[in-house]
Amino acid sequence: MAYMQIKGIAKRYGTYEAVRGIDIDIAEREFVVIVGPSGCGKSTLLRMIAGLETISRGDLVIDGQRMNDVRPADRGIAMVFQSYALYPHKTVEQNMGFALKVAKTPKDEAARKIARAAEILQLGPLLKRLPKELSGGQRQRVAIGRAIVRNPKVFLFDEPLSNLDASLRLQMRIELAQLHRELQATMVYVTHDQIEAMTLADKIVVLRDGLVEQIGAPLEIYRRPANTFVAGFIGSPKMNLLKARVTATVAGQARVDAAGLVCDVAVDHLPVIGAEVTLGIRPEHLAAGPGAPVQVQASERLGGVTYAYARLPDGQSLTVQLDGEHDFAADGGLTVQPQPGRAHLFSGDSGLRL
Amino acid sequence: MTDRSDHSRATWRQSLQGWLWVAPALLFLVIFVYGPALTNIRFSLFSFSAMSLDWDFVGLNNYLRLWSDPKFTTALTNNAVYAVISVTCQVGIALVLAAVLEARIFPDFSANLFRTALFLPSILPVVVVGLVWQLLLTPTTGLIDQILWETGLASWSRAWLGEPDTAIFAVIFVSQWQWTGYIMALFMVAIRAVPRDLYEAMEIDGASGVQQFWHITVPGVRETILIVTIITILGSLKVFDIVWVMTAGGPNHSSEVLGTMMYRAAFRDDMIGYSSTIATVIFFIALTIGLVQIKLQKDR
Repeated sequence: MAYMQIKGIAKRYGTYEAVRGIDIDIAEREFVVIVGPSGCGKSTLLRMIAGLETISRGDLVIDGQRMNDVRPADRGIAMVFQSYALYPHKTVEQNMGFALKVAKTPKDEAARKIARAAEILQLGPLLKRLPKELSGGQRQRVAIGRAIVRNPKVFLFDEPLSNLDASLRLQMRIELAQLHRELQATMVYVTHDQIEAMTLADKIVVLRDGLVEQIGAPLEIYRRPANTFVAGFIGSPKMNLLKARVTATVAGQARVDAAGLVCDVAVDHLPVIGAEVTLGIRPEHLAAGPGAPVQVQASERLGGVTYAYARLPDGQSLTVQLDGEHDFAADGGLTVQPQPGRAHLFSGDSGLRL
Repeated sequence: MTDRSDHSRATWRQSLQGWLWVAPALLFLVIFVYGPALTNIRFSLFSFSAMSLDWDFVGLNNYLRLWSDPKFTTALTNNAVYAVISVTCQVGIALVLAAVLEARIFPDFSANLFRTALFLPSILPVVVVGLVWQLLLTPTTGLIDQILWETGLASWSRAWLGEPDTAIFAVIFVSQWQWTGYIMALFMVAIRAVPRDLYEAMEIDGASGVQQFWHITVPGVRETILIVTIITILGSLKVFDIVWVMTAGGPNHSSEVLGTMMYRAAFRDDMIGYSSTIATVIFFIALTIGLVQIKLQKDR
């Protein structure tokens, strides 16, 4: 397995820069998930790593070797595509064995590698079938099998679960995590789904407009988002970001007031009293109880939990996660209070964490 | 019981509606295609001229006469050669050209220029193409001969359209020049429908351009290959215009094809029955090829 360094990589299409200088260090056996909204440049970055797009600026290094000008087949990578990209006229076995055939691998060795991949992915009974005779999940497994047989230094995944239905996606997510444990491989995974990012990654890279917004372990990003974009992107339902004013400060802590919702927040950079800031608080970190009054506009009862979509007296929207047993009028009033130590404070101007 | 009769009445009404929808097209086909085809078969059993009122029933004599006519053998052979060369060029070479132009090897501007240049001949009228190439192939003064002289290949110079050994090949060459670009355009459309991901997956798997062509492009466009092959073979079987303009089947019937033979029998020699016999033979060969196509498409 290999380590990878992405150093100041950029991609330019004419005058438009889709990726604007990205630095990521990926350690051996690490599972890195690149996440971001549509058009943020995550797939372009992955395709540059694969060699399917040229790198306009910066360096791609795998195991100490600069790979910018190395052809895709010689980079030691294997890629699983969103569409699976299985060769439609070849059987599962031929799909998995094609790269070995091209590389003129001896037949018995190729057969052994295919058999091993088929065993890992439980594809044994399907080896003689054509892709059109397989379900979506089976096709995805074949695509992964095709990557495994090449024994690559780095696995690349381009939104591999997007075409699957919700239950299959969950199942494949668990299987991918198991596969990573079993293969102990370096993996780079692109997705727009923050749940996939949170559940699979050792390290998450959040991208926006071709730039890195934050790199960190999933819980680190969840607990200490670097700015309002990351705060809103990671976590489901998304974090409440409320306009607030600083009313008092003591060492390392600021008291803020967002239309009656008063909260003490630990900060690294103390704002001045009276400053306009953004208070970030996740729906699961608000509780019903004596505190700020809100007006519930709508609610979703999911059984275990209930989401109340409410408004503060000044009209700002707020989502509150309540216990499924909590009883309240669907369009009535409610008072909420933040859980201590769970709120975040961001600069009102730059959006950066304070 | 009532339910069932209501149901069958509704089905019958639906079926009638269906027939009414296709009736105009069907009527057109019966009057202008199937009717004349069947009438033509009947004509082939008679000996008569276009102006005569007396029709002599000769049974299969026209067919026996055709079978023993050496011009028929020449024409059939020429059609077969025409078909083989056309399939090789218009399917084989056109597919390769399309794959090369779609492989993004050339910059967009050059690719568009090549595509336009190759497609252009197909929009010219056949008669114009035939006359222009007649001039180009003229011995001594034609451009082709002059090039041969200028490049030291004077020994290759000949009357391309005037010698029995070369006449049909010269005509076939011109036909390929005209139509290969057109078929190439059809293949380019088919290749664009092949998902790009497949080529990228092959690239990552280490496949060369040639391997990508054989493993992705060819299987990806095989439906188009089959249809284009059948169209090309049928076109070769029915060819008339370019041959008539360039050689009129000469010299000494060496470039005769079934089309020119049929035309000559009907409109030069006034043997309508004999001409109908040739038309019937063309019809049955075409029908057989059509049936083979349907069978092959069903098998896929």
